[in-house]
Amino acid sequence: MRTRALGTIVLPLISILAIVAFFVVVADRLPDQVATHWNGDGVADGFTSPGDLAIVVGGITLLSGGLMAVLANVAAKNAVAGGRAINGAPLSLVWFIGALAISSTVVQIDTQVVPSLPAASIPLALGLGAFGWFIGVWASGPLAEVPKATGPAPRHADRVPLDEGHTAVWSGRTPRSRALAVVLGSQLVIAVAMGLLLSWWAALAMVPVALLIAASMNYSVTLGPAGIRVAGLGLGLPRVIVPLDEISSASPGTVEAMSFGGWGIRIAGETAVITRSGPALVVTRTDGAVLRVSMDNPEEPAAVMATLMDRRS
Amino acid sequence: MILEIDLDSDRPIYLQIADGVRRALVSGRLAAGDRLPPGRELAGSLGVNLETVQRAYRHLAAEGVVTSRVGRGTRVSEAVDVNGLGLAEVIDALVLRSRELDLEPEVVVERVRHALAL
Repeated sequence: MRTRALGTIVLPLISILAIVAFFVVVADRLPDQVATHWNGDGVADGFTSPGDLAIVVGGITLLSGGLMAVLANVAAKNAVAGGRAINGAPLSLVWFIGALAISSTVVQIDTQVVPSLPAASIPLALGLGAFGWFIGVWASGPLAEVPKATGPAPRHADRVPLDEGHTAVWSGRTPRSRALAVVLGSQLVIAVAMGLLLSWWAALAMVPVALLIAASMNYSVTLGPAGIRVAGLGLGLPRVIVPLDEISSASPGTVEAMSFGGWGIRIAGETAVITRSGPALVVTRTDGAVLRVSMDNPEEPAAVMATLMDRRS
Repeated sequence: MILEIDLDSDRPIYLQIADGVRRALVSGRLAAGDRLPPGRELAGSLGVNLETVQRAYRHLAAEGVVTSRVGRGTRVSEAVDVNGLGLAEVIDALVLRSRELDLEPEVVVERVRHALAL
């Protein structure tokens, strides 16, 4: 019985209980001050009493796992993109934190010597985090079937002229984003500042973030007899696809970056690909899920989509 | 940009895609320097193999209609000869027909040469 509740709530909760149980059981065998925080060189610089450990670790896993569970169950509900992948986040985070906490505490059982952080701790936590993600996605089961649609687009929709027996592909791009360019610029400033003040290794850690932002600045939008595809320019990722037989309407509308909390691919009940607030192509799926894509002139792709919907069988 | 593709025709799909690009150029919906859809996206939205689209783009590139550059995608050539596009379509038809008839390329070239000399 794989369900979203099993993967995103039940398994994370069982894991949290097991982690808490571990700390309760070993509490008597731990030193009075358990090392719980290490500096960059792996030397302990933060300590917690054994009695508080179970509460602290339980609280952190409950809070972070719970936050991810809310994201998976509320924010990603009816999402057109990423709906399945996000189901792995709660279990992944709980296992990651649990593995870090347990592996660094195990070495302190029955000893008063303050240990350094075990070398295997972080690789182990990353590995278990990745495995937890996989298990969480698997346990949550496949996404709900989207009902298939046939037949014409809504009557009031505009159409384009298209010869009998012909099909059409519309291709365009999202409008160039000014906001994201500013964000990317500020990332660069932060990276340089981190490099000068902290270390260039820390600055290097900003590179994947900047790449992710750069990849979410511009999208190609292609729609044809197989459906609509929105894909990051350059990498082709991230990508959102809605097959033609799952579309109930496509119409010109608007999108506001602020109501989705920013730019790029956004999931907040509805799914949005936002590079600029303003006009957008609004695609409604047969299950009620909505996709909004920033677009300078959404009338033309909407009309092409309606024309293609008329011809689907 | 709208590409119109004739699904009823017996021509191979990659040539239909190439025809669609040429028609868009002739009708002015596509102009020199314009970007064609990324191959993977065009293939996905048409419901055909990526290889089919890449073949169409290679075909158009060989004719000098488009140029492909890594990182910049496939664009309509700046030097595209819109008036010559009708000829490209006829040549495609000639090539297909002569393959169906199993004609040697030299024979076809010779007959075209004769016809042109008349």
